[in-house]
Order: sequence, then structure tokens, then C-alpha cells
Amino acid sequence: MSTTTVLVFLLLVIMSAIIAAARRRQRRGRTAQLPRARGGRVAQVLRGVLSNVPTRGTPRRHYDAVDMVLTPTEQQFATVLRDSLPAAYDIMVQVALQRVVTVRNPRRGQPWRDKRWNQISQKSLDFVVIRRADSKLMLAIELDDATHLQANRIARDELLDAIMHDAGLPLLHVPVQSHYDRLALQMRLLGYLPS
Amino acid sequence: MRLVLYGLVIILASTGFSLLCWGLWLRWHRTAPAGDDQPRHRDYLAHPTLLDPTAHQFAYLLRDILPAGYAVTAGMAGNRLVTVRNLRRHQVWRDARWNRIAHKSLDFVIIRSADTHPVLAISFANSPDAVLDPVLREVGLPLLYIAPQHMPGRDALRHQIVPLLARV
Repeated sequence: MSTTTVLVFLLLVIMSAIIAAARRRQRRGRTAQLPRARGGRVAQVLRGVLSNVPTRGTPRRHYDAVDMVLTPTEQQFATVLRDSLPAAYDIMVQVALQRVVTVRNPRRGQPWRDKRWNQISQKSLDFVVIRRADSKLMLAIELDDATHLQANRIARDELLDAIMHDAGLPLLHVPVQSHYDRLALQMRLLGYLPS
Repeated sequence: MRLVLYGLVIILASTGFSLLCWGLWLRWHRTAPAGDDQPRHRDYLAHPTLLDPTAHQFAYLLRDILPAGYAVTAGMAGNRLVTVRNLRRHQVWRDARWNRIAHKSLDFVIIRSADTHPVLAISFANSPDAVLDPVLREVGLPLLYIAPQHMPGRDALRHQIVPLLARV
């Protein structure tokens, strides 16, 4: 009888330890702190030597700011786009998709558990046209360069098209060109923008 | 007695195994990329405007005070402003550092018109963002917080922003 009691007690202790560890891990994930260097002092020194980063005084860097928000190809298109748009409209670049589209009936407090949320939370749109007077969303534009021919990008584009279609916001795909026909682009844009 | 002992060992082992499987499934579920299957009808809604009325008013003010050669853009995705060092190619979602910034966005970013170099980020919030604040500090991009309830006037905003632009 005593053995049984000890085993049951052990079982309870193990289960509570597992649950506590899972909750701790979950909490750590939610606080979203910057990653800390793992391992002891020797590991840190070795890592520093290998990555050619000074270990004393300066912490290890994980991020870099981009030099340019738009690639030269995108900049070229942005110039033509700005010239083609009527003065009442403005363009925003590299806009997070979640700023444009939202999920219907989202899970409150736990959006990351919603697959639909995960489908939009990490994507961005190259250009978004808004009405200057009230920031009304008019049109999204994707500039399709050579990377859009890759299999994973094709799947991503199809998903993005479906999401935008579902949300009811037009998405225009413009293939990258060395020279853009301003008039043709203007005519295409006017189809989406009320005069 | 021995039978009870065997029974308990089996229960213990199966519970442990189930918890292990559950943990592994949860881990996979969190790290797995969003599926490529198509959304159902009416899963998504478009926001009517990119900026709420207060942010729109602020954007108008910002555009007005910016010196020539700078432009303002709103709602920029965090992963378009910041890159991750030594990122796993093709498996970016497995990198916690990337996941931290990928679902974040900036309210306003001031860029240099000539080459779209980011100069200043502006967050329309009362308190610092626990993720963006240390990341932008690390990369050396100034992040300015503007409380929506206490929006500065034109001159005050100009005094706040112009010195930051001059630093670049």
C-alpha cells in the first residue's frame, strides 16, 4: 500500500513539474524579450571568436537596419507610380498586411493561435495607395520581380490574391520592367480610383 | 500488489508519452508556417482606412513639417525595416529573432526620398514597445514615441524631429 502511495505521489510531482515547465516556457514566449546568448563563459568567448564579434563590453548583435526600404527596381517603379497617381492619392511602401486586412471574428488575446491571423501577420504589401483626404485604402500593388517565379512565391502570391479578394480590396500585380509606360499605368490605376 | 505496481507504471509511462507528444505537437504547431490553403469565404475584412483619424491628423502635420528630401510612410512592416543577422534561409519562421519582428509594424517611418534610406521611426503609443524599442536601439534607428492624447503642436514636433533627421 505504501509503495502505491509513493508511486502516486511521484506521478503527481512529475505531472506538476511538467505543467509548470510548460507554463514557464509559454510565459517566456509571450514576454518576447531579445534573445540572450546561451552557454557559459567559454561558449560565449568561442562564439565571439568564431563570429568575429567582440564579447566583452558590446553585446552580440542580432539585427541590422536596412540601407534602403525599397530596392532600386522598386524605387524606379515608385517614381513612375507617384507621377501616374492623381494628386488626391498617396502611396505607402512596404505596408504590413495586418494594417490593411484583418481577420473576421478574431480570437481575443490569442491571435497567434488563429491560422487566418498567421496567414496575414508576417506578410507585407509593396505599395498601398490611399486617399490623401482620409487615408482610405484604395488599392494595393505588388511589383512582381524574378523571385515571384519561384514555387514558394507563386503559392504565396496565390494566397495573397485570395486574401485580398476575400477582403474586397483590389490587388494589382505589375511585372518588373526596365521602362514603365506611364500612360498605360495611369489608365490601369484609374480603373480602381474614383475620379 | 505487483499488479497494481505494473498498472501504475503503465499509467505513468503512457501519461508521460502523451505529454511528450502533446508538447511536440504544440511546438510544431507554433513553428510551422502558415498553411498555403486558400481562405474560406469572408474570413478577412479590409480596414476602411490605413490610419485612424488621430493618426491621419498627425500624418498631415508630419508631412507639413518635414524638410524637403524626406518622405513619410505609414504602417511599414517590421521585417522590411530590420533584417536578422545570419538568418536561416528558406526557414525564416524557425528563427525566433525573425518571428519577433515579422509581426510588428511601425506607425510611421521617415525615409530619405532620394534612396529610401530609413531615418526615423515614429510610434503612435503611450509606452515603449517591448520588442521594437530594443531592436531599433540595437540597429541605431531612432524611435520617437508620440502619445495620441498629447499630440504636440507644429513647432514642438518640428523641434523634436528636425534634430533627429540632422543626425543621419
